[in-house]
Amino acid sequence: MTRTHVFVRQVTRLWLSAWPFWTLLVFASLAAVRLLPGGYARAAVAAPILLAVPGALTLGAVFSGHHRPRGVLFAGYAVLLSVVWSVFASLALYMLKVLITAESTYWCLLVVSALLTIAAEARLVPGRSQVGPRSVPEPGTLDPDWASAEADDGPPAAVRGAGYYAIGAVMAGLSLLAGGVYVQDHLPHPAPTGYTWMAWTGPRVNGAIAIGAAGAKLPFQIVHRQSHTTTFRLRATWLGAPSRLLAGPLTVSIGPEKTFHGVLFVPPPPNGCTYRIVVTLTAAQQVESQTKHPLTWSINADVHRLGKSPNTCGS
Amino acid sequence: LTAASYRRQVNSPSSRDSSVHQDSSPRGYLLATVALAGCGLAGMAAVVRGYQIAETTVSSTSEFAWFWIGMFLLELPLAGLVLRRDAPRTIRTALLTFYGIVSYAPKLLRDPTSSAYHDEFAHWRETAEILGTGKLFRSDAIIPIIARYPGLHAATAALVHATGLNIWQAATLLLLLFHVMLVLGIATLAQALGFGNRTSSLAAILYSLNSSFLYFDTQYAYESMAITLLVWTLVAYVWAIRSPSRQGRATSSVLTTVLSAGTVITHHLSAFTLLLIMAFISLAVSVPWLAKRENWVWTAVTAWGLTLITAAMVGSWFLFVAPSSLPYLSPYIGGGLSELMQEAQGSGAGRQLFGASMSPWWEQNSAYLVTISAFALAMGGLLWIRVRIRDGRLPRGRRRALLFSFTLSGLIYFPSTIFILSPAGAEGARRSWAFTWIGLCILAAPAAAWLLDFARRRAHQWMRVSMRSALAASLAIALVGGTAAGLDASYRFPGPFLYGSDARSVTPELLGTSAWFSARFGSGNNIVTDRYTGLIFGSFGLQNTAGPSASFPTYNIYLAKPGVSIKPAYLLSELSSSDYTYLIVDKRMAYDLPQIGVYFEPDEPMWIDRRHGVKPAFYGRLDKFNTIQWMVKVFQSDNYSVYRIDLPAPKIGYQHQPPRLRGKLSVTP
Repeated sequence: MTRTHVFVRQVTRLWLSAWPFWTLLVFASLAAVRLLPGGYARAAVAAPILLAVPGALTLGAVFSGHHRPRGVLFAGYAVLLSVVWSVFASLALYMLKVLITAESTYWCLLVVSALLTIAAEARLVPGRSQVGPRSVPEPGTLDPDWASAEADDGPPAAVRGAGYYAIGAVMAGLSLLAGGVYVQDHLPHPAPTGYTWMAWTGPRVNGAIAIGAAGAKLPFQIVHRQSHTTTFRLRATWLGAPSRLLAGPLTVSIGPEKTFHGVLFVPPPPNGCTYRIVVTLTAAQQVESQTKHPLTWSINADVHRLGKSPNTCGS
Repeated sequence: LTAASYRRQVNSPSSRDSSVHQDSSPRGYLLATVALAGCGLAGMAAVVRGYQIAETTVSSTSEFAWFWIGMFLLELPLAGLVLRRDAPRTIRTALLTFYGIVSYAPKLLRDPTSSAYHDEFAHWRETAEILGTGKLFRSDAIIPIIARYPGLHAATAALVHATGLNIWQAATLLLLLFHVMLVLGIATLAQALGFGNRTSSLAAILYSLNSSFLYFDTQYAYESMAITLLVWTLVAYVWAIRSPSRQGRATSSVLTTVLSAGTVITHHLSAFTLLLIMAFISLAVSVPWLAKRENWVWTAVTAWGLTLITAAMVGSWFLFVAPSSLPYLSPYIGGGLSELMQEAQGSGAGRQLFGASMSPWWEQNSAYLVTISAFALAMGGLLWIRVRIRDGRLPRGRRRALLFSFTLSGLIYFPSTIFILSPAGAEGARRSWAFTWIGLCILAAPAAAWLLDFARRRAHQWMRVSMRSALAASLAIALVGGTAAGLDASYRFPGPFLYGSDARSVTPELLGTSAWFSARFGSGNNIVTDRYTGLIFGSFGLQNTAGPSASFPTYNIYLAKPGVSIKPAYLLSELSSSDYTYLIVDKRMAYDLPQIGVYFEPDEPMWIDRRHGVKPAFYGRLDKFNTIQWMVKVFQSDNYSVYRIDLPAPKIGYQHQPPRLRGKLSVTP
């Protein structure tokens, strides 16, 4: 037997003698793992801990060594119980009126894991003399009702390599998925449909905008998310029957992925009435597919003279 | 099982076969591995190619063909290897794990970086709320009921906190885990019911043919997590019932209780179904003809005890935390029943199967064949049970009772298919299949295994090959049909914008509009908009979209004719008192009919005409917003307009006689 074998056996014995405690330490190390920058690197370390440790400890706390599920059963229940514990932790924090944050979730799960560790360690004590190779029957195989259970299993000669096969399958599957995503991401895709938008900027106003005696400047923005340059005509009108020109028209050429900042100077209205102004942008050579009208964008706003009562409207 | 008897079983002639040793040689394994890798790579490439074609066309046969060629290459060889008699159980488990992972590919590749389905946006929002506010049960504008079931969102938030991944990355990791665990869980459940490793694996593969497996139960939604919890809860429950010792019963009962609590917190329908299956099992183990045997009273007490605990948890959650669950679920059943009755009497309008589907004819026809094949296999399963009872291999006891209860829950699938003919019941029927197929695959698996063995026993090689080919073809057809019976092609495949489709309505323009709105006005604004615009504003935009209904008919704002007051009269005062401050209009409402048939929600009145060739009800009615006194247009893009709602309306509106004053316009880059 080589030194390596001896070392591995000693480590295994040490692990099995107090695995819940060591597992708890692994969970506690999540605090240090959080120092890693968030993303795939931290996820590769933190996700297996978060998604396995609380559940594994639950199994250790609930089942004694002889009855504890093994292999896929252990992994399956460990993952699902860990997920459920993270939900219970959030519920507990909510009921205790503690905000659910990274820190509070960590401490809550650590407390839960510590309690489960105590229970699991307590279960280990009477069984310590039996630490060694596992020879645990599958749950229920002693049940006489299952004497008629089907026995079409294949040769169980590969039982020893179970973990390696499963890990191999997981690695192969994940590589295939990752490869598919990578290839798809690097294939040519149809260019996204471009668009243009226009909006008011400046301070947020509710209701009509008050225009002082010197008039007011109303800022707006035109964003052109297209791959080509487009020529527009820009104008402002007083809305009414009929509408009247307030400013413009201007001819503007906007290049691809460009933003233009506009300002509309509004003179003081003559009385206390509220008026609606409209800024309209019209594409010079583009028509709407449905209406066949020139492609048009508009924004509007209501304005009134500062200091003049609406009651003076019409006077 | 003692070590000696275990060795006897291993060395028994029945478990040894000379052909096994030939096939299981290292060379054989190497060849199988290389072939499997080749099929996997080619299959993945074909699926990617199918999706690439789909991106450029609304719907084409070639995208379906490439996709299914890919899926066949990915899944059929794996299924073949899993079902070989001589496959060692550890390798079979590894292959099943691999099967679970690769069967997640269609959903993952559909949109690897973001939500794509309607429900996913709602669940994304709910998780973002937990991360943003640190609280559970935040109201959800898109699907209000999900706020009362925080299991998935809390689990995702915990993973985001621990890893620093974004919501979608954490969600993808969890979903992949749940999906793989679901496959392994079905196999484990079948094994817990006394089936061998091979038949159990076959049950898992049969389960993967159900209509929810590839897409619906892989989406970021609460059922995807809850159904996996349900299956593993049932495994623990079966263990608790089976265990001959008090300690075994107690430990498995603890596991059952913890996992059923997790299910209850996560999803209403899964919790309800879990309770139903547990009740079936409890009833079955209480029937002497099925279960009477030594200690059967303890078995029944254990079963009923756990069922009552679960019932108490479900009842408490429904009563105190999520009282809206029953009103939410009942229309799917009640409405469906009443529509079926009307149709039977000739007074109702039935639902045309695949009416608006973009699937090719062969997909649609396969969907019908799935039900027929499932029925044949279920009959075979019943026959298998009968034979086993007659020859004494399935005596009274827990196993017989458990098999009967799972059989019963599986057979519910067949009457549920009738509901697919009713508009209200179709959705409920489809959703039930992921649950009924648990029992159905357990019932069908022994019959399918018998068929495989029957093919294997044929003396002539050509006969064996023909029968195996026929079985592989049946599996392929069931895979196609099962998937086609679930979600529409617009959900399954990426593609260009499709107006009125939940899964193809997101455009850069909509995302840009929502981003502008959030940057300008912040989050948490109460807004009125249509279903598809609301998906993005209500999720990524964190806005509160109005939920239109008969009592709050916000669609009437859009429907009102220009110059005519909006009805009912209380609507505007309700908008004002509830602080709705913005209205968002997609001008395509006036020209296009929605692909899924609704502009807002299924509650919208039927008189919004959806016939092709008829102008939409909103035609000519959207420009009025530019002149309404209490609305100001603050944003317009190619298709979207954002109006500020200034309610209550001012007593004196803007003047229609404009002044002759000139201002000035200037623009700078």
